Amino acid sequence: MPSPKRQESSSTRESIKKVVKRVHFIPDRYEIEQELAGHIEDSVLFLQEEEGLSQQEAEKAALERMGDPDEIGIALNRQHNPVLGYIWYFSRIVLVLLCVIVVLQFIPVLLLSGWTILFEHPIRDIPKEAYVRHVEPNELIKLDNRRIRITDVVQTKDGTLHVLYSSYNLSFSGLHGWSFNNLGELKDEDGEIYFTGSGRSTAGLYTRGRRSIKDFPFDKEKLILEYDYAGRCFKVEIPLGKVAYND
Amino acid sequence: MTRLKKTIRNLVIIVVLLFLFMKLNGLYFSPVQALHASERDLHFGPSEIVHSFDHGNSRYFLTRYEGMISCSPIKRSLGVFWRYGAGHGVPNNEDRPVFTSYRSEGNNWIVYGMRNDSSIARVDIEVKNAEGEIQVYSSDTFYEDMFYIIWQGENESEVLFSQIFAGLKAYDDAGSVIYDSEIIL
Repeated sequence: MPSPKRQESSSTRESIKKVVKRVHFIPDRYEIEQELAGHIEDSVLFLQEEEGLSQQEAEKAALERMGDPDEIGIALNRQHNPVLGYIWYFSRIVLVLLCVIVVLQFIPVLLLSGWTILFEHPIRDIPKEAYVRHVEPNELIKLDNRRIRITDVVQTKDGTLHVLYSSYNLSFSGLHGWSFNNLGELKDEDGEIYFTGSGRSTAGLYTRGRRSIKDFPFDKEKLILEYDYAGRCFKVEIPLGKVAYND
Repeated sequence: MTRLKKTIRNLVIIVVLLFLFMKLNGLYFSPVQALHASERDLHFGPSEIVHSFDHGNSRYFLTRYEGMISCSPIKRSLGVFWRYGAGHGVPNNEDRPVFTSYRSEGNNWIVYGMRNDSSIARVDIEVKNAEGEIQVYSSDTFYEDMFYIIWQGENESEVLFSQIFAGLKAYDDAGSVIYDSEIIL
């Protein structure tokens, strides 16, 4: 059973203060104070019970047994190294702050990318009954740190050819508002270049996009994506397959 | 766990979190790193840095890459970092004795360019101020034929460059006009 807390005398308080003054790592001082007070109190109780000393005599003896407060303080200061102590103390503060900032910044990014992965797919803009041909080339394009995957190419009854792709950047640039909508020149197997009719792209770390070309001839068998700019190039040939149905 | 071990653990986690924080915010310790990272994400460069100068809170880089020139600002951020920013170039039209482009940021306007005629010794840009008066800004300093002219004017959100631009003149050593254009780009 813990002993009831006693009121410390002024001499005990002074001795403890002398000790902790020598400890330069201030955040540890309170803990040291409590520990020393506990030890002295236990010692006083022991001396009263075992040796029959009065309260005042017991306190005096307990403080004498404790030793020189300055020496104890110097020894404790060595144990509670202030340099290491402050590095540890401030590292905790910085750690918590950084954790909060990074988590708060990361959550929207993860939510946005998660939303794109789960729910945003521009292929859903195209009614399935309008398809006349559909291929899933699954071609991966590497452009610097960016990875672009051509996921689907769909041609609809009105002749529009939709190129659907997903993209992400290993350098996290999607976070800074830059998305990639440039798949280069879109050509057929005879070298005819088609200009984009429309397109859209989601935002975030992981994006999905669509580029659509109006009036792509039904008799063309290949779509070629060719990019050659600022020292970067890629060329992807996508066989389009046969037209299944056309009014 | 001893305090030393806790400190080491904390410092390791701080390094990882700092890396994530820098990545999430496009921050770099060096402006050149930030410039080249920006360029890479724009699928451009790395460009050759011809000259750099500080203006306001940014460091501007006059660069060239495969016949293109740029003047990209990289902003200082949080005291010790440089923030990922612009980095793309415009093709230098070598048919013109002096080729210029411009950029603006708040009240700061910059015209930069390349002299394609080495006899050009000075370039003047004429712009209208808020009162409609013509102001002339000059540069006679060239860095491997690249130059810049910087001035403070109306806020870019209030005017277009085409509204303030009045003319561009280039002179030779003798002060004769070599090029006089009403086109900036």
